[in-house]
Amino acid sequence: MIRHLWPLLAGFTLWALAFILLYALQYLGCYFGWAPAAHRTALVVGYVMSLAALAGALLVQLALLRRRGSAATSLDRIGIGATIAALAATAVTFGPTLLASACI
Amino acid sequence: MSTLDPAGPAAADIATLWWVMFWGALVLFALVMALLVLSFLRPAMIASIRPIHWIIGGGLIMPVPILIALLMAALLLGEQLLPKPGGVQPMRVEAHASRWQWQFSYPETPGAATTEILHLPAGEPVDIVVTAADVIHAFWVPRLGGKIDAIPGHTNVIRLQADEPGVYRGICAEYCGEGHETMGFVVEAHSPADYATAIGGAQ
Amino acid sequence: MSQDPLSPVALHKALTRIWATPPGWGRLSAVNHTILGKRFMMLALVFFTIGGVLAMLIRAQLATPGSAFIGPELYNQIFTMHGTVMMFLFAIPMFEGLAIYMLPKLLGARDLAFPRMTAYGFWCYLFGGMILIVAMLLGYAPNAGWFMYTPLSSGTYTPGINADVWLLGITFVEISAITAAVEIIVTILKMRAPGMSLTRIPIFGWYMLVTATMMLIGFPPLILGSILLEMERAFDLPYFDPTRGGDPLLWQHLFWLFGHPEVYIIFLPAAGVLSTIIPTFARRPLIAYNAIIIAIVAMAFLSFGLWVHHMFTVGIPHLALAFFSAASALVAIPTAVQIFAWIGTLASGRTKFDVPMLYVIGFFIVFVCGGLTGVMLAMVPFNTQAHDSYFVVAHLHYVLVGGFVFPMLAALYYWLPHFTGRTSVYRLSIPAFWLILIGFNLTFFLMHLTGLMGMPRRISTYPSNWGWDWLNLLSSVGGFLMTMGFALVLVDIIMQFRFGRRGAQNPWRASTLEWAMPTPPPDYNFAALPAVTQRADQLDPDALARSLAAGEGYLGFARADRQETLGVDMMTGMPDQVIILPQRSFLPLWTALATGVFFLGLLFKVYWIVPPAAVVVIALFLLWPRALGARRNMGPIDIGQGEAVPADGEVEDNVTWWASRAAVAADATLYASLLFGALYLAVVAPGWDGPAPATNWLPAIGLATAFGASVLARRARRLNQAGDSPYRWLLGGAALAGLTALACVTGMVLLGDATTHANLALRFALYAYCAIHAGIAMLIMAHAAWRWREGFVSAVRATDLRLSVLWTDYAALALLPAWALMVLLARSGGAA
Ligand code: HEM
Ligand SMILES: [Cu+2]
Ligand SMILES: [Cu+2]
Repeated sequence: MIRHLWPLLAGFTLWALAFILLYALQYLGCYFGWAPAAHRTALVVGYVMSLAALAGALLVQLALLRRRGSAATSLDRIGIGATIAALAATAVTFGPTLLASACI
Repeated sequence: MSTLDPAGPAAADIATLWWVMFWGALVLFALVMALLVLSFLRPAMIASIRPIHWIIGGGLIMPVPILIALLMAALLLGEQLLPKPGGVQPMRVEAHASRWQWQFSYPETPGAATTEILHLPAGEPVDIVVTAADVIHAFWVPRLGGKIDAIPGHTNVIRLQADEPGVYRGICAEYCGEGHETMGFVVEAHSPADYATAIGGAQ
Repeated sequence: MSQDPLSPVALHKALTRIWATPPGWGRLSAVNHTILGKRFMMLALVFFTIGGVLAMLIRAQLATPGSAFIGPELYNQIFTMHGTVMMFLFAIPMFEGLAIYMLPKLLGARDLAFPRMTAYGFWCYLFGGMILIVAMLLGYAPNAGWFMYTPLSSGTYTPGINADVWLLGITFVEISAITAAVEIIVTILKMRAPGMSLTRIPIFGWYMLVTATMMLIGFPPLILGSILLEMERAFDLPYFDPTRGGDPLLWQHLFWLFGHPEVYIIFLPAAGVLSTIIPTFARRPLIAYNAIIIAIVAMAFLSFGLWVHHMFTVGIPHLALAFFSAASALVAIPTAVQIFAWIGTLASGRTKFDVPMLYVIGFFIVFVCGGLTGVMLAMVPFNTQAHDSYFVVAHLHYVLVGGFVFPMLAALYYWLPHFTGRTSVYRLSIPAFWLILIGFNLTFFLMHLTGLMGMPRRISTYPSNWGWDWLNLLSSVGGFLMTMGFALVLVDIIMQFRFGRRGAQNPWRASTLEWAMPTPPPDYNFAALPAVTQRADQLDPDALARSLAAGEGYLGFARADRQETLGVDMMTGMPDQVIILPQRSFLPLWTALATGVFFLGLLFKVYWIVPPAAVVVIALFLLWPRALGARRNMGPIDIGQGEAVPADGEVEDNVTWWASRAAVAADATLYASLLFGALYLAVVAPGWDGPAPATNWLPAIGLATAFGASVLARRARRLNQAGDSPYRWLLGGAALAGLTALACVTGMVLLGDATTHANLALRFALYAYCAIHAGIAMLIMAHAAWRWREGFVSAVRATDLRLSVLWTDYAALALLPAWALMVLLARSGGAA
């Protein structure tokens, strides 16, 4: 039954996964002493992938909404708002991957 | 003791950040209160604002740019304060905390004794290497800059600079048990000429 | 089934006979949510008073420099207890009580999903709180600060019983938070008036749904941390000891992983209250219902991604700090969305004024300030100056008092007529409000400045030449003004009980369901359950109250001495089951007393009593389901309005099933925290070099037997579906699960001396976790076998068998990462 709530939760769940991924990348890069350029590249790729995943989720939800037409519930629409918010949050939260010092 | 009376670049930059945030917060607070007052006293003036406009205007358009600008500024300032490697490396001083006292030593100056007063050369950055023997403490000299925790098993570094020779006060900022409030210390910044004599290095 | 319609009075009598709690000693058997909600709130107010007295002692001590009124030893206990009492014994139970009292009434149900769990939670709260207070009165209060940082709180530096009091007392109280969370989630999702679809529930329901889910995920890290720290203190297992492969920072991560969501857990219910009160006084529906749902979901998620802002100065790389800093700043946005939704609601309504609205205004003033300083503190460079100074003390009180105490006072004045059926006297309400507002700002506004001037928190005294004197003196004066205000509120409440006139049933002309009943409310809430055809914050309670009292609606009758209420489809709100609730019982009290013996045994290190106490607790819990369930299929039952639905035992989607899954979610979060801790120590902690003992095959054996148990559980369920006997398969599965537990316990024994290094201590914890869960699976399967023998289980009444599958699966799945981690730990090195 919880699956009915997914439209609402999908976006921010992806945000949370992106958080775990990037925090782990940051940490492991320092732990294993990756070359700074490689480390930075990995982080930025992770950032872009997270954005892509959220954009993808948004597109899927929009397509579903269109397909459901008048059968769509207001929860579907609320879900789209939540995913947009999560996309914006991803862009801001992990933006620092572009420039902040990773290991000091 | 006051962070608003900075005596070094780190503290000065943070104080500037504070004043910017303070005035910004004041304006935002006044704005919200004005809207609140209007909603009671002159609702007609703002009753025509549609719900979606309240949310988009107040919830997004107003805070988002402010927050992003603030985050960027804080990020850049934070980068600037980091004890980064590369370039001319500042001198290193060690600060070791135990219940309930600080001990400072000067590994780069052969023969310098361990002291209870932290001696710094004025006008140049110093990396302070902070460690702890027993529980967690925190190294804080409000007029010079932010604090850094002294954690058993960890080594932390903070870069500080005192612009002028003088006496500054430091304090342990992480609760460490019964003697916590007595765990203050004194920082003396000396002109480069006097510094060596102050720490008694064998030069 | 034909029911003769009764007159409203006769119906009231018949329902009361079924739902009432007897007087005298019988009160201790209460399981009714109205009674327990009030008890929770009353007890929370008692703790608020205690916390307030402690705050006054703090302010008295700090009023002047160099004060010798209280020495540091006592002061440390006082501020620790003040923070602990306010957070754990006042704020959380207070909103739990409000939700327990209010939710069924707002949603159109007759009680919560698990009334006896509510009672058990209350007793755990009471007994756990008493442990703390009694310890304080005897001079053994915790003294390591409310966040109990290690190593200060570990055995070496706090050798006495003080820290154990905190760890065990708070864990005891947390039981009530977890049970309340499960109950709130299940109730909101499954127990509403027919027709109340998910997007029609009153907004307070959404707030509590999100809050309860956050509790379910937020509390387990703290519970795990407390267990590990208590194991370190009691048995010297070095999880946080840097000299033996532990790390004090692990505690900070676990604590704040709970601690930050915690402050949103406290704020969201209060925001839910505001979203309920403001529309009533604005005389129009709340604007932007959908945007608010998005905002609270966003807050819930974001709040789990910013715990490190309490750790900006521990020496974490700047990039990681930047993530947490950005997330911390971002929470301001959903907060702003709500603030403007409220202002917009007021602006577009025809606002009337009354005492609750005073506190709403107070909330705006104080909370907006707190939010702004919160954004400041989210900026790393500024945080390094303000952290652990009085600036933070100011900030946290602005958010907690502004974002919780003021809304709760508004709630108190708003719903007091509902509790008492009387209207306020009001002579004192207004001066009390001004004293609180002015006193509060005088006390705490100045503390921002005190902090910026360099005063650290948690110091019992300070020298007089540092410029802090007059600020502290004024703060203390403000504190006493505020206390006078709170005292007046108390007198005001007592006056209302004594002298308030019997008032109208819906004094504020609200449009939510809780007013569609007589006040004070009857034991059964609604004589009949309403059909809801629009958003449930736009109803007409007065008209509804009349028709419901006459039994017009669903279940508008008393039947077979059963406590009946409706379960609905989660999404659509269409009735899909009749939920038959358990009646009053002393079992929760006995179980909680046995749980208390368990905790006291641990506290006083009388370890021989702990295992028998645990057995008694389990045995008592196994007695609970006896009163429930049927021995024959009833088929669809009449619910009035010409409809009929099955009883809850005969549907798959019932509350027990939902609650079990919620419990598994909490349990899995606890386990995930443990796995995180193990990885964290292996990778981060100092002292992980040299060889480590190899691992053996016991985890693999455990895994095989656990999967066997889970296969047998599935087989049993399928046989039962086909109408065959699952009995032997269940017993076989229980035996296999028992073998799993045995393998894990053997693993613990073979580890040798786990106190030498965190590597072994972690393996010990992993084995212990798996052993306990194999044990749970074994008990549940054996219990299911017994229930089948007794005739409680049939092809449709199969919940017991589905639970067997759920818990055996979980026990098996838990062993997988445990095994992987043991292999990893064997390679990480470090055990001397
Ligand atoms: C009744 C008015 C109150 C006053 C005058 C007051 C005063 C104080 C003071 C002076 C401190 C700092 C103690 C120190 O650092 O040495 C403090 C700490 C604290 N207060 Fe309050 N407080 C009040 C109400 C509250 C409320 C309502 C809450 C929560 C709902 C709360 C939660 C806390 C917490 C969590 C701490 C931190 C304790 C620690 O450092 O371990 N306080 N309070
Ligand atoms: Cu200290
Ligand atoms: Cu926080």
